[in-house]
Formats: sequence, C-alpha cells, structure tokens
Amino acid sequence: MHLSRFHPRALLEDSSFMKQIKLTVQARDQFGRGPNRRLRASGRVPAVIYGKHHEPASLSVDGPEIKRLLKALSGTTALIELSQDNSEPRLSVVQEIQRNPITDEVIHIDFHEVSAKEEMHTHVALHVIGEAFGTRNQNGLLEIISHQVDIQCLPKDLPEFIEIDVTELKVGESIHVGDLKKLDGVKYLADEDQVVIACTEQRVDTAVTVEETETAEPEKAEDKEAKKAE
Amino acid sequence: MPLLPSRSKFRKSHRGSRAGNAKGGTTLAFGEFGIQSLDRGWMTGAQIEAARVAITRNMKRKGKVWIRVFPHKPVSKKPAETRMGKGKGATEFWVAVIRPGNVLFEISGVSATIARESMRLADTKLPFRCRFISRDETTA
Repeated sequence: MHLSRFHPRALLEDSSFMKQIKLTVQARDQFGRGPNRRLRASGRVPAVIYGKHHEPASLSVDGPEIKRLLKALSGTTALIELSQDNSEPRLSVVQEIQRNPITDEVIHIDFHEVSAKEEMHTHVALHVIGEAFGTRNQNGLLEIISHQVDIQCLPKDLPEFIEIDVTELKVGESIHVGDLKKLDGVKYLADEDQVVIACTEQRVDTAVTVEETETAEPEKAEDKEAKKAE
Repeated sequence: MPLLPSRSKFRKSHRGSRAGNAKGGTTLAFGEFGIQSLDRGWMTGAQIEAARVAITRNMKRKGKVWIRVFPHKPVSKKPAETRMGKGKGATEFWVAVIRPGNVLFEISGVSATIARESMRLADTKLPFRCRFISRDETTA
C-alpha cells in the first residue's frame, strides 16, 4: 500500500536535551568467565569502555549503581560520566547492555567513550505522543516501524529522546525520518524517506511469521514439470 | 492449517538437544507486548496456530501479531502396531525447539489489558510456562 506523506503543523514541540549521569566505576584486572562470575556473585557487574582515543579498559560497576543508572535511563539516551579512582572522568554512552534473558539481570555493559569536541553516532528513542486520528476515528492501526533513530551530533547536543505527535495522523499517512523535527546540531543518519510511523488500515488477519523469509520458496512449476519428464 | 516449511533439505532429523537458554530472539523486536518462554520444549505447528488464533480472537482482529518462532524440525513417528525396525517412521509433524528466553509472539495496536489477556490465552495452548513482557518494562 502506498502511504502519502504526512505534513503536520507542529510535529515536534520540543525534545529534551542532553542528560548526564555520573557513575563510579573500578578498574578490573581479572578477565574471563570464572573471575566475572565471582565478580557478579559479589554484587558487581563487569563492564568495558572503548573509544577512539584510548585503549579499551575493563571495568566493574556496583550492582545497585547499575539499577540506579537503568532507572535514570529508562528509554532515554544520556551521557554517562564515568569517574574512576586516580584518573580523570571519561564521557561515554551506553553501547550495549547484556542481560540474562530469564532473570533480566544485567550481565555486562559496554560503554562507548565520546569526546566533547567530536561528533558521535548513536541512536535515540522515539516517543509517540497522543492517539492518532486514524486509530480514533477511522479504525486504523498505528504501526511503529522504528522505535529508535540513528543520529550524529556533538555530545552537548545529544537529545534524550525525540517526541512525535501523531494526533493528526490519518489512515494511509505516514511519518518519515525527513518529517522529524530539525534539532540544532543533530543530523539524522537514516534515509529521509524511511518510514518511522504509519497509520494503516486494519487487516482481517494480521499475523506475520517473522521467519517466513527463511523458509525456501516453493518449487517452481517449471522444475516440477522437468522432474515429471525425468 | 499449521505452519510447516515449504521445502526442507533433509526429510528427517535427529532429536537434537534442548539444553541451555535461548541465545537469540530473547527481546521484543517488533511489537509493544510479547510472550516469552520460561521452560524448554517442542512447540508444534498446530500449537503455534492454536495460540495465534487465541490471540487474534481475543484482540477481536484488531492490532498486529508477529509470530517469532517457526517449526523447522521434522518429527517422525512409526504407525501403530508396527514391529520395530524397517527404518525410521514417516514425518508426523513439525516443531520449533523452544529454550527459556525465546520470544514466541509479539503484538501491538491494542491496550496493555487486552494484550495481557491475549497472551494468557495463548499461554494456555502451549506445553511450557511463559510470561508476559512489554517494551516499557524492558527498555533501558
């Protein structure tokens, strides 16, 4: 289905800017499964920091500190100031959080070091605001195609999240990356035509098998005929 | 009609191992809400279909459903009252190997209450324990 482009009057009112969180870390000199398991048992979480200008360093963070960090982050992007004994604080962003899939406990954290003077690449969460006109009045379905968007900016310009107001979105309309609010110093890395949110008609049966593409295509009619001939 | 591969490289397979936890497919990728396995087991194509029907019926055909698992593994069975030997039986059904942590279904476009009830109904169709997960709880 072709979706016409949605041109809202005020797509984004405002997006919060740069949140900075302080975190105390310790250097870690033992590596591997055994030492890390013992570290977790003692209530600390192994971590690593890497970046352009320094050698990667292994760290450990206090468990309750991690919980506080995750609560503070909760669906937003923030700069993390890592303070370590006998060294200068290092600015970073959370690159990856590994969790136990069953208990949801944090197993490991990757911090990506950033420089205050250099532009950085990261992704920022999209926050949908309001109920779309299409879902309210036209029995439509609001499809969030991407929950986050890749950006390039200086650390001082890093937005916490990007708000998208969908209240005027009708069935058949969509919001593209190019429609997102232009923020000072922030460049969207994705293609401008990439759809972020779409309001579509409700289909009768909407189940989608994610791995459908993995199953091979059915045999072509020609192949079958060739087999019969054999 | 249960899910099954349209073509497979080999007609029959060994039983394989279900040990360990899921390595991938453990987080929500598409929808707002989902159902995650807490145990291990085989999920047949018919069970996937039954769970899907339970979800879509409770959602009154609103919203969108993603099926995150697919039955790639053939299970063979010998006919009743057959003497042992004479080779492996014919493929009877197809299963997905589920390990703890696998996300089975995802949904979006409905309220949390409806989503929770839909997933509870889907859980009743499955041979292992599951839990409800939502994007709000997992984002960090």
